[in-house]
Amino acid sequence: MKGSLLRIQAVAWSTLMEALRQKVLWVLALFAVIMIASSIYFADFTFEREFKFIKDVGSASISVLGLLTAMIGAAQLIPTEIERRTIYTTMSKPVFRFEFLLGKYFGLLSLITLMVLGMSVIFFGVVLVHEQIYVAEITAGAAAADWSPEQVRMVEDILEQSRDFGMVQAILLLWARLALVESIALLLSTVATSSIFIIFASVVIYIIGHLQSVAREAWAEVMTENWMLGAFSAVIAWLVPNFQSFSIIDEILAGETISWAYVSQIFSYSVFYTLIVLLASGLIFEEREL
Amino acid sequence: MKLKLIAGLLLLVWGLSKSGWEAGIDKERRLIVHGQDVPLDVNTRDLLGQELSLALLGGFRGMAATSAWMSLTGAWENKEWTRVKAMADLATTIQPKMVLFWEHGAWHLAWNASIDMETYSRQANQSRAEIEARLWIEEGRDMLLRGLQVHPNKAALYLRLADIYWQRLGDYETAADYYLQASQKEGAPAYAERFVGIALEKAGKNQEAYDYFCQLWEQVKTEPKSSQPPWQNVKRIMMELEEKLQVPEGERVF
Repeated sequence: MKGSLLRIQAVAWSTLMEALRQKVLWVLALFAVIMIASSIYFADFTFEREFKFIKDVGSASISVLGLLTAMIGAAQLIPTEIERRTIYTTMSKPVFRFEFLLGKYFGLLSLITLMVLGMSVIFFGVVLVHEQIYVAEITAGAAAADWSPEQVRMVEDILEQSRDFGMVQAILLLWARLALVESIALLLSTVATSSIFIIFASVVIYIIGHLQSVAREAWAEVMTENWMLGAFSAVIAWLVPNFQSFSIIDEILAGETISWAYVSQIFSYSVFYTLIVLLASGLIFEEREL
Repeated sequence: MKLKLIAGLLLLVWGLSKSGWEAGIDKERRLIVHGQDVPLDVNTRDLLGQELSLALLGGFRGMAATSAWMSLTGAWENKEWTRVKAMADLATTIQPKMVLFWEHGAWHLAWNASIDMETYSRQANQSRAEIEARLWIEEGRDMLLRGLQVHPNKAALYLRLADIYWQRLGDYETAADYYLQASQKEGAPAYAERFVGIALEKAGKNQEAYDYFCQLWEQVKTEPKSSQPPWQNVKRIMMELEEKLQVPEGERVF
């Protein structure tokens, strides 16, 4: 067991290092530019709207950059190894195929985690800078003890927006969504050979995943009217993850208080789903002709 | 081939068994996003359309709502009121839980659009301008009523609705009712409870206004805030009401 973990770790480490050598983390600089530019652009609004807009831009940027990394990265994990024939060198060593696959997955997931952490630090940094600007404007640099009750109330309102602990929940769910998307792209890469096809199929599954809840609740009724459409809906309901459940991230960023119990329910759903998909990927990859 | 079959079976079994879990997650999500759990029914086209449009945004709902709101701000500056309404409707549909969208959207319609119609109207005559203005006020009111279905406990929406009835429709009695509802919600500003009585008095409901103020004064008379200007104003109104209603000397508060 320990030996297996070490082999997975070795493959993961080499995958992460290879990605870092390709300067994938430059994406953080791009994110920083987007955040700073948007925060300057939104500076004319009231603090309530400005914080909402900055949070939305931040969350959308983390999602887009993370999804691109997860889909493109995972789509290249196996096909590139086969194309370059480096997989034969690895397979000639005492490494099981399943360990190789898990190592690849966790290597890319480590990169995604680093990116999400880096982007979150920049995101919180921009929010805190704006918080300080607003507090300084309202209090005119006076010491906290000298603030009027109105100033205290306004500062409390700003801090409620800027130090919203819900943002941690949002980041956690963003990461869980990326981990799930990566596992699906990896599953596709165990059956397909073309990276472009894998990326395209991942995007389609991601989009359809947002309609999964509609398909799940409607397929039986649709089946009575049109069996083909009903069967198609049933396939979506059974085989595609419910990505719409992650839409709660927008509510969290809008200031809605969401219980940790609910967040952990969605988080554990995506972790469990990811494990099932990884297991299926491993089984398929065992029989794949290299 | 055998392992591939097992993988397919694994995904299928998981797919069939996960439905209950997903349904539970969706039930709570709808409660949070829409403020109510309405089970999807293919016959309820509105809700289905709303769910589909939310789904098609593919996880970028907040950003789409923000874009709609930015577009609304541009339309407001150009006095394109139909576009203002369309963008406010879009933002509130995409992200109904954002109180700010309901509140500010209604303000744009009931004040900015309607006053523009009244003051700078391109209408042929004054009656026509007043009808147009009234329509915009009603659009703002309806937006808030829809917002209250999602946010039945938000004081800000009740206050805005009360302001519309007071300032734009001249219906003080209904305004008093909404100020009262606002004052009973968490986070309501202190003035809401005073405005109930003032609105009742403006509606000509002098006895109701006096009875209400008597109750209110009983609660605050020993507190330091009763000597502050807002409460001194209440005191003045109560004294005037005592005169109007000819309250016997022994029963008067002041």
